Amino acid sequence: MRFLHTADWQLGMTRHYLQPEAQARSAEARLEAVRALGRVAAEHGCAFVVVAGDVFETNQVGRDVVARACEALAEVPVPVLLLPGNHDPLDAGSVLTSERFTRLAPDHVRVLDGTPVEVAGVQVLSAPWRSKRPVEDLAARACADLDDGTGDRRAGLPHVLVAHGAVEAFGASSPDPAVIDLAALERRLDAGQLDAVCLGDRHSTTEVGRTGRVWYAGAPEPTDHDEQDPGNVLVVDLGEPGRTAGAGRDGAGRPPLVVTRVPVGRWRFRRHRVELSREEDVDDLERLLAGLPDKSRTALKLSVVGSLSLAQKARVDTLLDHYGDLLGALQVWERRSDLVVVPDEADLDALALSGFARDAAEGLAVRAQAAVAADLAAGGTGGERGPVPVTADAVAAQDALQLLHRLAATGARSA
Amino acid sequence: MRVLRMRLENFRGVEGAEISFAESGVTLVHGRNEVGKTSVVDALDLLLDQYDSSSKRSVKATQPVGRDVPTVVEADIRAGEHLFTYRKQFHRQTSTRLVVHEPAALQLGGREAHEEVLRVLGEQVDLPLWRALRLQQGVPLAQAELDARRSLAQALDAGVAASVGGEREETLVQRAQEEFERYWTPTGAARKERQGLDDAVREADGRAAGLAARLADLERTVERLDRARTEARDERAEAEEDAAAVRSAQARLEELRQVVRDAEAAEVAVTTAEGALALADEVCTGRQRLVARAEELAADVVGREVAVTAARAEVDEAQARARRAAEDLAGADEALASRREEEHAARRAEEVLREAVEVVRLREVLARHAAAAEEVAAAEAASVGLTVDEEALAEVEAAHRAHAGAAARAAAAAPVVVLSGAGRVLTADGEQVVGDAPLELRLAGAAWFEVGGVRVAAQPSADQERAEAEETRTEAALRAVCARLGVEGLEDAVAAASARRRAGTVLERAHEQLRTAGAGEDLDAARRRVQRWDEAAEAPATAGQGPAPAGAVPAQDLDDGVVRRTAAAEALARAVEERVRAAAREESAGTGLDEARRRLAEADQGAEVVRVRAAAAQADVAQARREASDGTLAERLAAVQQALVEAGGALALARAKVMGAGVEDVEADLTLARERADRGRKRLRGLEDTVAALAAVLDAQGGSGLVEELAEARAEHERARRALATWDRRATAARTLHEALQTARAAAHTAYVAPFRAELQRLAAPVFGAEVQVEISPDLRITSRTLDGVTVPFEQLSTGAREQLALLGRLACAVLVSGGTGVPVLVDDALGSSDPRRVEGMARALTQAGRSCQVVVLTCEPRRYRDVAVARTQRLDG
Repeated sequence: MRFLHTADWQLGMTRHYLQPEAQARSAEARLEAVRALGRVAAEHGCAFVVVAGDVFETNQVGRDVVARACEALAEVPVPVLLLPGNHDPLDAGSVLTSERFTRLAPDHVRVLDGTPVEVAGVQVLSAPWRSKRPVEDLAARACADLDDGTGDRRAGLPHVLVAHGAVEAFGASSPDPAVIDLAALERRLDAGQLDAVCLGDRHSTTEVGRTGRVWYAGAPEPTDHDEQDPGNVLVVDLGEPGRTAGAGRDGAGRPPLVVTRVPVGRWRFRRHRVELSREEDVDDLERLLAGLPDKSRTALKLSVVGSLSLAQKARVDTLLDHYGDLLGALQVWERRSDLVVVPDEADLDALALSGFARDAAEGLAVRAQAAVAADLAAGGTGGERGPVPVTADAVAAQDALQLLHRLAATGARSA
Repeated sequence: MRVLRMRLENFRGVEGAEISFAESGVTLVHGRNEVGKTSVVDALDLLLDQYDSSSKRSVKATQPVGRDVPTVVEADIRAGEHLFTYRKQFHRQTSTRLVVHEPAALQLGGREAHEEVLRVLGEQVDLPLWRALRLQQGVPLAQAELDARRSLAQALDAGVAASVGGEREETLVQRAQEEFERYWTPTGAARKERQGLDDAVREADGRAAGLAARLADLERTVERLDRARTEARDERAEAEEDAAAVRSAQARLEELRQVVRDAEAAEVAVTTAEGALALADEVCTGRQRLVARAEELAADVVGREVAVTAARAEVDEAQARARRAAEDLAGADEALASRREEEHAARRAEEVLREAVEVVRLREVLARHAAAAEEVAAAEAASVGLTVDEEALAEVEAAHRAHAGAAARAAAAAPVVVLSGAGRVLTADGEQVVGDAPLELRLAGAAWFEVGGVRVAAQPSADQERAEAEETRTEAALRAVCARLGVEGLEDAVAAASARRRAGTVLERAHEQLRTAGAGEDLDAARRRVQRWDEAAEAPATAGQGPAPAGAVPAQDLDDGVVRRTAAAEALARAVEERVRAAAREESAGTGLDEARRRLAEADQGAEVVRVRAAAAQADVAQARREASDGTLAERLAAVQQALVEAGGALALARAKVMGAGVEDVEADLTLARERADRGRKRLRGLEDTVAALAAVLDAQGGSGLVEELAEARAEHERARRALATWDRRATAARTLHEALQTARAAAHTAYVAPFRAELQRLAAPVFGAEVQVEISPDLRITSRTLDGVTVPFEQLSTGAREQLALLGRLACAVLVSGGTGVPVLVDDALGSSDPRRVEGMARALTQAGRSCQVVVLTCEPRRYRDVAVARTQRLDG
């Protein structure tokens, strides 16, 4: 008995660092991921798909997003159960209960509203978010009925809980009342009340706890640079129905849960820290950029540190300009970047200046390094370890030198 | 540095020329104009600065016009310890060749040769200053210092630019300036573009803030809607509770009301029991009355049967009386019939007599009338033919008068001839004799007369003719009237009219008689009556009619008839009276009989009714007793009395319960519960309205993509922010560079100022006197000259003085370039504006300069420089 576990589609998501055209490609990729997971479900014989929250980026997504989402959902060949998450809670403005979604959604799509659902011989319990600030552990509440036996507990059927949010580590206490109590869930898993817990919210595919039965599916299409292992969906195999004691079966008489991660995401969000101090470093950077696969679907965030000569800096700038055009997105992470331009003798010679112009260039070079020099004079390392000391005037001088370099180069080219 | 020799081939107009220069001192090169003296200056620049392959326009321009030949420049140069021959060929088979002779032989070609020469020269001379000097040499002396673009400082800048940018017009400084001006106004304020970027940032920020506010609004709406829904749900639950409370109060109230109804029912039961008692009482009384009545009726029946017998006897007696009265009446009827016949006969006889008398009278009237009619007819016959009435008569009289008048006038008009004498006169009427009395002849018309054989014919005048014609016409008219009326003339007409009047009178009288004869009679009726009478007379007499005497009827007969008829009438009246009396008696007897019979019938009927009633009463009694015997009735009465007592007890009990029920309290509870429920409903309605309104707001907002819009706005803000930051950074860089260059340039210029001024003054002393003072601006321009305590701004100096100072400036510069060893100064046809005294001074200055550097004077007038200590003179011929 297999089903497909996914989450955090966040359809309608935008990223400010994506240019409009890249943004459109990114949006299309998210929809394509939905189609792709539909194909995965078919290939792996999954009986249904659960989406553990955050189907939409917000409840206020545009009409076009809803329409395209429904169009993509129509291509999924098995029933799809959608859980409202913190991005698209089941509140009064819920997109999942909006007239438009209700009208356009294919028949095999169902919104999990907390009512237990039986699908393909599996009892699915759900913990939908009903507001952006829940005041209790929604997963615990969804399981509450399992205790007193008054719930819709159907003997003999596997039970799967679909929930969304952060889990509380063992023994840890969180000020957030909505955090999911993992220990409580594991007790239910041990007791055989639950067979699997499908979670959403964390965009990296993650197994949680000790049971092997609690998983975050992660986002099928990466959404940001800080994600560890995004771009997957999980094929969850509950094993043969029925509970018997035997080899390989656990205390509740179940076979172990088999979870297979299947990559579907096409975009890559990468983060790189590069140290640029020598010409070889710039060569490495060029190799790194040139070697990126599938550039139009790669969002790269660079933190750049080090100090470069005017010529090297110019080369770096050219590289970044070029790959900025090629990549889905190329950001230089200002907060984590610390690149200083230190004009050297060769720079000044290359300018082939004489007279007062050379004097001016040399003066600027001194100003550009004044902060470093001062640091060194004061007994510092001048940026050898830690951030390079810098002042506004030093930056202005560095920029002026680069400008001079450019103007001179323009002259040289036209000569 | 010294140029020892220069050779030019195909350099502009110069096909081929070679000049040797004195290694020190002044070399005078003279030749005609246009032999290419200035080409020497340009050729040296070309050789030192340009690559052989240069495609610059200035290089290309050196090729002779219209000839595709190579241009060659070659020079022998000494620089410090270096002595070399440097050759470049341009345009075709381009080449550069350097042959170093000292200190060590070396041969180089191409760029290597070019770089080596620059290196060697760079060791010896201030290259920028030398370039500036050479740039200046292309400018005529007189304007040099006036043209800021060509100041030494500018030339220096251009020299610097040439080292990095080649021959572009803009210098690096200018480009930096342009870059600066892209961002900053000349006064140092940021350009408007920055305001635009700043506005874009603020606008994007504002838009994002607006969208965020709208989004927050929307989220608040969602929260409010959720809250309102929850509250509505709670309110509904409360409404359920309220409704239950109302129902409970209603149930309790209903129970209490049942108690009240029970009491009311007990009251009804008492009333019913009382009714039942009254009824039972009545039943017993009714039974007694029923028995008494049956007995009463039985007694009545006996009495009535006696009365019937008496009535029957009365009827028999009345029948006898009636028979007798009927017989009397029949007798009276017979007598009456006889009397009636007799009276009728008497009346007939009297009538016949009266008719006879009348017929006689009528015959007389008819006879009188016939006679009168005959008279009328006769009078009418007499009147026939008498046609001349009064009107016709008047007509004749008028015609007659007219004719008489006309005749008189005709006569008067005709001339009258009076014949006197005696004689015969023949006239138309015959012969007349004139006698004693004169004969008057009226000559009417064409009358004539003959007297004595003489015929005298009158010729009538016009008046006469008219009068005679009128006479003739009136006479004809008179005759016509008479003819029409059938009279002879006036007299006859008068007679006829008279006869007519008389006949009329007779006729009127006859008519009067006829009217009188028939007056008051219907003559036709009279004739018919007479005829009937006559016809009856002819018919055979019938009984009772009596004979109709044709002649006169005696009056006595008539009177007798009247008496007989009167007697018969009286007898008839008496018989009638008797008949009436008999009839009255008969009727009275009938009435008596009927009355007796009716009474009998009544008695019979009354007796029968009473008998039936009595039987019915007996039957009723029997029936009642069968239904309930008198004893049973008594028992029932007792039972009902007992029931009444019991109902009274129950009623007392129920009333006691009602007293203790407290219905008002429960009703008050119910009212409260209902009010609470009403308030709850109102609140619920309010909440439902709120829910609907908020849901509508959400519906309207749904799908608007607000979040995407916000993200886009924030992205836009980020982009705008970055654009602004980039602009700022670039602007700062441009300003920093611009300022650095400006500062460095000013410093560089300042470095030249003092040595330049000192050298200039040294060279100027032979020209203007030892006391001369010259001021140099930071951009190395000569600003003024002070002589004998008088300071004159450069631009106010005479053309000659300016020319001299400019040339001295170049010489000073040339000395400075190589730190005292100098570089070649090329002076092109200078001092044209200088007076001889100053030329002499300038000659001394040139000589003095020639001690430190090579001075080459190009001129077409060698005499101008006769005072100069010339080391070598070269002639240049085209």
